[in-house]
Formats: sequence, C-alpha cells, structure tokens
Amino acid sequence: MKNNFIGMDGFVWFLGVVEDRQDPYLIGRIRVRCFGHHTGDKVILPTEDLPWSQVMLPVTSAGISGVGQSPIGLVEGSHVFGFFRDGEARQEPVVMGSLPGYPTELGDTTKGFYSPIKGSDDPHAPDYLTNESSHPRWKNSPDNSQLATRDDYSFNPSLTEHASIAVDKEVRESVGIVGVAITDPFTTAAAFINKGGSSLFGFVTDMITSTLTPLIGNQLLSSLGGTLGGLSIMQNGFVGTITDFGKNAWQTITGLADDPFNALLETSLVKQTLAPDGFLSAEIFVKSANLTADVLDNMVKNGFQQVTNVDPSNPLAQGYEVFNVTNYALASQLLGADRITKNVDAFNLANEVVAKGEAITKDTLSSAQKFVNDAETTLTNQAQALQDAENQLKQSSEVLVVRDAQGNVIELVEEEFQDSQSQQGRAEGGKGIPVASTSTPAGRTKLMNQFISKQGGVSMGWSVPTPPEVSDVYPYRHVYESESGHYMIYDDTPGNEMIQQRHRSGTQYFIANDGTKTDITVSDEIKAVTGSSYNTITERQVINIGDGLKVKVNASGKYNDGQNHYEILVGAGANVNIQVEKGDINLSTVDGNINMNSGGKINMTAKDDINIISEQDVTVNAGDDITLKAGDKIRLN
Amino acid sequence: MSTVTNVTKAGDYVLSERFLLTSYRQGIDDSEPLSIDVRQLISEIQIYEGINNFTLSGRLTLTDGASVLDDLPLTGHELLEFSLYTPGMSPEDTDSPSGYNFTSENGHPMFVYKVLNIISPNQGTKIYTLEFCSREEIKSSQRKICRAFTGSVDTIVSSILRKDLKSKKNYIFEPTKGVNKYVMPKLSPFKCINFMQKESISSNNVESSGYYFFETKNGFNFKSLEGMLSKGKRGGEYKKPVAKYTNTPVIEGGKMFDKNAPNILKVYEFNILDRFNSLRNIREGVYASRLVTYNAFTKQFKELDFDYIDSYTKQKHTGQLKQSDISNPATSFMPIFNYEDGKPMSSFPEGKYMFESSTQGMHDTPQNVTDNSQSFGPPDVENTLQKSISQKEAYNSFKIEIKVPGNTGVSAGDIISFETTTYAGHGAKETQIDPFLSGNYLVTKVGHLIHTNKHITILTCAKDSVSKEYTPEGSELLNREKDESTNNFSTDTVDLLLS
Repeated sequence: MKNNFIGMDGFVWFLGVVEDRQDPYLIGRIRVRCFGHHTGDKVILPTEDLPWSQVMLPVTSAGISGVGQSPIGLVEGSHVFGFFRDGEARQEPVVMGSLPGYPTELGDTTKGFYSPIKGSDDPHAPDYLTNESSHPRWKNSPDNSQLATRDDYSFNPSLTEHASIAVDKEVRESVGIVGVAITDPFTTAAAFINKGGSSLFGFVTDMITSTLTPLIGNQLLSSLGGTLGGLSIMQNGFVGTITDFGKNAWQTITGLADDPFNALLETSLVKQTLAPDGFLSAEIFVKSANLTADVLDNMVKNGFQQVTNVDPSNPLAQGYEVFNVTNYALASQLLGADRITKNVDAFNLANEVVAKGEAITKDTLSSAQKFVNDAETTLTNQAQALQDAENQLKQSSEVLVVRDAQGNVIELVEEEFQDSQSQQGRAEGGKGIPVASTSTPAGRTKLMNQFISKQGGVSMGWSVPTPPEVSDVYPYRHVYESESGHYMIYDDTPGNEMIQQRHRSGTQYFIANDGTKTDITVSDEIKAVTGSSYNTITERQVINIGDGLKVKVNASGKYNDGQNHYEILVGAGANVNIQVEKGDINLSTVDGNINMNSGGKINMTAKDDINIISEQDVTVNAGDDITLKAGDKIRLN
Repeated sequence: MSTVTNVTKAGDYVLSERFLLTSYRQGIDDSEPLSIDVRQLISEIQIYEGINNFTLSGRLTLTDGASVLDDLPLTGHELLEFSLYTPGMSPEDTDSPSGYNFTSENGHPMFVYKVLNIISPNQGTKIYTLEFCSREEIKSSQRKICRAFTGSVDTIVSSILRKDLKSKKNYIFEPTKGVNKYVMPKLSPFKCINFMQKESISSNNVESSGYYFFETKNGFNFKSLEGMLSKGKRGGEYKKPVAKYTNTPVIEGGKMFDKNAPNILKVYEFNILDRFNSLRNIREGVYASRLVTYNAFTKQFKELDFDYIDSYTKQKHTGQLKQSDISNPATSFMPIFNYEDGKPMSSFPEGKYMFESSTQGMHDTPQNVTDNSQSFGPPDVENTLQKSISQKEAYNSFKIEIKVPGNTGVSAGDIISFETTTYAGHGAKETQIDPFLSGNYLVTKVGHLIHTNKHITILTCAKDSVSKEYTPEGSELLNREKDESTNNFSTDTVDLLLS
C-alpha cells in the first residue's frame, strides 16, 4: 500500500552509468542511464531524455554556499549507485556514489550505458582513444588512479604510461638541469681553460660530453646548452636503421605485409640528425612508386608528417616522398628509445624547426652549437681528445684530477683552489654543497643526502629531489586526480608518509617523510606580498641562478622610516665574497656617498690601472705614514 | 441458449448466431485458423467492466457432451468471437447499437487465457470454464516501455494505446491540462498509464485531478471522475442518467411492478456495499489531509492542508436526485458540525499525513536557464494529490450494488438514477423516497451474467453526495462525556480500591 510518504514507500535503488554532466544549472547534476530501468537503445531513449540526477556529497562537504567539495567528480562513463527519491515512480534519481571496477572493454559511444563522449573530442583523453568513449581510459586494469596502484604498464599492453608520470619524467629532466649545482666542474674547466689557454677548448668540450656524461647525465650537456653539443646528419638505408620492433610498427603503419612491405622498406631511406647522445630527428624517404594512397593515409594518421617543401635539387627527393617523424613516441618506436636523444627539449625544438619547414642545423637549434660531420667522427674525436687530455693532464702540475670509482675524470681543479682557506679560493664560489647536517632535529635522515653527489668527502653538486618511488603504497596512498592530470597525494604508506600536490604541467610541491619540502615550478614563479616577508634559515642557503638577479629596494621610494635600506650583515668569522667571472663590478650612487669603513686594512689589487677621479677635492688622511711606490714614475701636477 | 430478436421480457438478450472459439493453428485444408462454434455448448457467460479495470474480462462455461472441444484442443491461447446485445440495442434494431461486439468481422475478439477447471459430471460430458480478456491485457503483460514522453497525458496515453498496445479500439478521453514529461522506467503499458492517471489534471475540470483508464463496450476511456459526471468544459451540464432504476415496490401511478413485464429498469436486488465509514474517511484523507512537499532543486518545503468543505464547493458531485451546478457542502456525506473546539471534521488534516517530492527541473535544458522557465515534468503534486485522494476515496465510501435485468446499454463510467424507499414506517412513509440513498450514481463496475436464458446485469454504483442536506450543527454536542480527566490513579491505588 502506498503511503505517499517519501522514505516509507520503498527504497528503490539503481545502478547506472553517467552519460551527461552538463547541468545547465551548474549544480552538479548528471544524467544517468539506470540498468534495468532504462533501455540501452539511444534511439528509443536518447541521453538528453534522461532525467537529471542530483548527487549526494559526503558529510565533509556542506553542500551549501560552496562550502566543501563541489559535486563535480563524476565523468561520462562513471558507474554509479543511487536511489529514486520518488520511489516506484522512478522519475527523480539521486546518485549516492561511484563504483570503480576493472573494465574489460572500452566504451561504445553509440550505445547507452557508455560515455557518449568520443576520445577524440576529449582533449584530456589519450591519443589511442578516438571513436571509443573518453572513459574508461584503459581496459583490463583497475579503475583506481595509476598513481595509487603503480600499475605495471609493460605488463598490460593496453595501457600507456600514465600521462602525469610521463610528464614528470620530462619535467624532472628539465628541472634537474636547473637544479644541478655542478657548475663547479664547468667553473673548474672554465678556470682551467683560462689558465691553460684556449687551445684546450676542443679537448674540454669533447671530454665533458663523453666523460662526464656518465656521471651527471645529460643534465650537464643540456645545462651547457649548445656550446658543447654536436650535430651530424647521416643518410642510410631504412632497413639497417630501424629496430625489429620498429619494423613491425612500420609494417602495421603502412598496412603492407611480406613482399610489398619489404619492397617499400628496401626502397626507403632515412636521414637522421644526430645529437651527441642520439637522434634528434629523422626523415623517412619512401619511394613514390610504392606509396599507395592507403599507405600514405596510414602513415599520416600514425604520426608521419609529409614534407611538401622538399628542395628539388636534393638528390634524396628524386623519386621519393619525404616524411618527418614528428613525435618522440613514434621515433622511439621506430628507431629505439635508447637511440633517441634524452634531451626532450632539443628533440621538441628539432620538431618545431622541422614544422617550420627549415633544416636542422646548428643555427636553427642554437647559434652556438658545435657542428661536426657525423656521429662516428664525433665519437672518434672525443676518444682521441680524451686520450690527449689524459696525456696533457699527466704533465700538468697545476691541476688536480678527480676521478670516479671507474677511473673516469670527473673534475679538474687547479691546485691553488684546493686551499679552502684562501680568500680567492672561496671567492670562486666555494667547493661543493654546504649541508651542515644530514639528519633532521627529529633524527630522520634528510632526503637531500640522496641528491648531493660527493667525491672524496667533497660535496660536488646537488639536484632537485624527486619523491621516493615506493611500490607498496596500497591502500595507504590517497589520491585525488582530476581529469586533466592535476593530482593531490596524501600518502600514509609507512615509511613514506608524503604529501604532494601537482599541476598537470609539472609544477608541484611535495613534502617527504623527513619533512623536506620541495617546490618545483616549471614556468615562472611570482610572489606578491603586501606586507613584510620574513625568512629564517637555521643553516645555509644555496641559490643557483641561471640568468640575472635584480633586487630593487624601496622601489616605490615612499618609505623613509629608517628601515628602507638594503643591508647585508655577515656575522663574525665570515666574509663577503663577490666575484665576477668576466665583467665589471660597478658601485654607484645617484645622490649619496659611497662609504667604506674597514676594521682592518683596505686592500685593492688590479691587473690594470687604478683610477680615482673626483670632480672636487681628494683628501687622503693617514694616521701614520703615506707611502707611494711606483714601478715607473710618480706624476704630480 | 437461443437467439432472441424480440423483447419478450426483462432479461432477454441477443446473442450472435456464431460463438467461435478460434485456435492459434490452421484448420484442415484451410488457410484460415481452426474455429469451432461452441454456441450450443454454452452454459454461462460472464462479462465484466469497471472504471478500475483496464480491460474487459469475462468467464465462459461450456458443457461439452460430444467431445467437440477435444478437436481444438483448448490451450489457453484461443480467441473468442461473439456478440451480445440487449434486445432493441443490437445493430439490427438501431443505428446506435449498444452492446458487446467481440466478432472479428466488425468488432474485437477476446483472448482466452485460462482454462479454469474441467469437470466431468458424467461419462462423456465435460464442463469447461474459460477466462477471457481483451487482447490489450495480454499485450500489456508482454512488454515494457522505456522511453521519454513529452506532451499532454491524454496524448501520451493515446500513443501508448496505439503504438505499444497496437489497439484498434475507440479511445474516448477527456483532455488533460499542461505539457508533461515522463521517462518510463521499463513499465508495462498499463502500469505506465496507471502511473500517469493518478497525477493527471483535467483541462475541462481544473479542480478534478486523478484520472481513470478503463475499457467498456465502446472502447478505452481516459477520464476524470468529474468528466464522467458532466459534459464539456468546467461548468458544463451534468450528464443525464443512461438508465433510471427504481427499487420502489410501486410505480408512480400506484401500481405494483409486474416482475414479468418487459421493464428492464426494474431492480431485482439491492445491496449497500459501503456507506458510513467515517474512520476510514479520516484515515484515507477524504475529509482532510496534510501534504508536506520538498523541492530538492530549490530546497523549499511546504505544508499544504486539504479541507474537504473548501474543495467540495469547487467540484462536481453526484448523488442528488436533482443535479445542480452549485455544490452545497451540506449535501456531502460529511455532516458539517462542531466536532471539537468549533472545528468540523475537515479541520483535522493530520489524519492523512503525506510527504512527497515536488522537485522540478528534472529535464532542464540550457534554454530553461536562458528563459528562466521551468522544464516539462510530471504535474505538480501540490495541486493534484490531496484532491485526487479525497475524491477517489469519497466515491469508495458510498457504494451500492443492484441486480437488474440484462442491459448492455449501461457501461462503467455512466450515470444512472436509482430510487429506493425508506425502510421504516407504515402508511404514508412507505412510499417515501429515501433522500440519502436515492439519487444519481456513477457506475463503477458492470457485470453481465447470462445463463439459462436470462441475462442479469449487476451494477456497482457510487456517489459522493446526498439529495437531502445534512443539517449543520454549531454546538459541540458529541463531546458530552463524563469528565474524569482530573482523576489520576496509579495501578496500586486501583488495586487497593478494588480489594
């Protein structure tokens, strides 16, 4: 018997799939197709005819006036549980929660009970989803965030690496460059060059690219920019270039099998632009006679970009159609990931150059890039240069050679710099990274210990820490991930208690279990403070600035309260060292004096003239003697 | 069973020459389905219709002494073809026939769905009882509707009737108010209609909510209670009774009824099924009710009290001997008197307490946001539910049953007139018409019983008012019991007093 009383006329619940979340009133309602209650035939019951379902929020959200979370977590394709507020009439659905699962199929946008949004229409969907629904993103894998499950992508071919993880790797390479403090070897090398003369330049560059790379990876190469880079262009048969896996991919892409495939392959050429550590780009030359419309269509769809402005005088273009490999993934697939440059910036830059229709040269990539004929020659030269350097270094009495455990040269240090008490030595920027303690006041081992390289007890450099990658995080890792790839992690995994908040671009901060907080910004960082800013650092601060530094104090000029000064105070037993590698130190006032007061001596040394010019009087007062000594004349006028 | 073409006496009927049971399979050497004429086997026919029944139904009893039915055989999947009329109402007698035409030539055969029991009273004789119904009943049981409907409810019902039930019968409807939208969640066609009819509002009688969908000999009907009582738009005339039955022992001229006379308007038997049940009326919300509504979209809630007296004056009613467009609340079967603290019975709404969702906007579109308009949805429960319940239950609370000579001219949903005398007294009072029982009635159920050459019609009728006003009373006369409310005894004290 019907009571006409909500809650007393039965609890009619349902399971369903979200098909629409574009609530015109923006209150988070969704359209749900309910299993059993609604047909899956969208001709009979289109998505737009489904009623709007209200969604329930947890008690941690107020559900009023924007307090708490907003009810907009569901996406088209989400499976949900709910009930009908109006009981058996079933016209007013209410969604209580979502149901993660282990999808074994992708969505069919033409049918009910699937997301009607095509993957190709969703900018956040992976590339392999085109006509399939935008969600689920993958099949045969848990619906949980891959960040939470640390799913093994290689185990499941239908998975691709989580976009955020892939971006993180890229970002870390980039950020690593910024954070690498091993300016010391470069500084040392530069000092060595200055000391030894420019004749050693070629040696140093090649030595660093070949010898220091194993130690500091490509970070150094990249940090040194194109100065030490090398480019070469090779032309060879395609067959001998591509990997076995690449052959299969090529066969799949062209849609040709056996003989036609082999014919196409044999008649194809590849022209590769080489970076010191791998290919920057590749151009595939496919014989025009073998290139059918279907093959052409498949190639374009799969990432090849046909070059239309081929120089007709290029002998390679005669009878061939030219294609660029325009993305990193495809190049990795065809040529082998280990053979592609790890410098993604350079690779992308190469792609941009190609996209403009320009050739990749040292000028198009970087005006300062070194250009050699081919990779083999570069390697030969590097080996020879290294040997020559070894020989020269053995004869040098002014240089300390630091080697790693494998015997590789990892640092060149002038002897005089080894005097750590030397004022000049310290003025060179110091050696190593100052870290006073390796554990926190609570006794936990500091994360930075893992990111500071040391040789012989000397801290050589540091890189930006990355969060520890631990595997057994389930069910302790609490992840909130948005559609575009932003995420927050609250990790309660024993021993890895961590907080991380990350933008999809890679800008993020994380707090490691020892309390270390790392901020990574992949673009600009702007800070605006309307009041005062107070910073207290118990130990030390190290700042590496790739470009310039500008500090403007009392920029507004409106403060005149006695606290508007730029003050640098150094405690007892420490110096202020200012060093310019090449350039001037300029001290000037527009309206004011320059006052120097020394508790001890004032020493000035110049390799060139010392000029003191005053538009008015010059007064020299001495409490004791005045001594003037000249190598030549003393002129008084 | 014999065919009667001339009215000889009350209870005569006209049954078609052929009374066919048609099998699902072909006949021998014939592309036509196998049919057997069972007219000579008929022992009894029952046909039912009612405003609470979606379709016609019936029961047929056959006595087969020659194993005729064994040739079919019966499976519960047969069609039944025949026609039944009251003499004078058949196509042969009038241009406006009124009866049951279940023939395939120009009518709509019934579907035999059940063989109830088979009795063998003697060797070689079998008595079959078959149950049959309209084919729409079968079709409705076979399918579920799951699609969205937008439009007036009467057009939605029409769509279901024609497209889903594939019915070719007449559709007689009273237009409904407004445009509504429903998404049917896999309901059978009749359940869809049943769901919608409760909320429907008449465009003619705006105070009437709650519809009835039912089949009569004329086709399918979709009407409100007031639509059954009156014609056309609001304020239209009351319908005239299709038959005037009297239970009085004498006719107006002072002559006694001749039971053998061919007067089909006499009453064989009269029973009161429901009359005074004020407790049920209180509990079911006839007199008063309170409806709390909650709109989950706007986060608003309301408390709405329904007062029978207020509503009564705005609605049409049946029950008076002389119908009037003015509905005097004193003619309702709820006497208006000071029940408690100066309040009538209709001032206690918590007797029926309801809580319903009034959430709107289930089908909002961006256009609704732009226009600041409301999307289509079910009718507003705030304007329908209480009136619908009160009106429906009011008719359930005053019901009679009369057995009359077979009359295929009366259908469910028709108005009849019924007169009866008061029971008590002698002399002058014997001829007094009972002003409370007599009056116009709504026919809610019709049963036809045809056996042994006689056709009896059993009419279940209801009304919601009386011809003579109940006298209003302002004094609180019913509250005169002895006041012992100041005496409070513990059980120990009672035990002590009793010991």
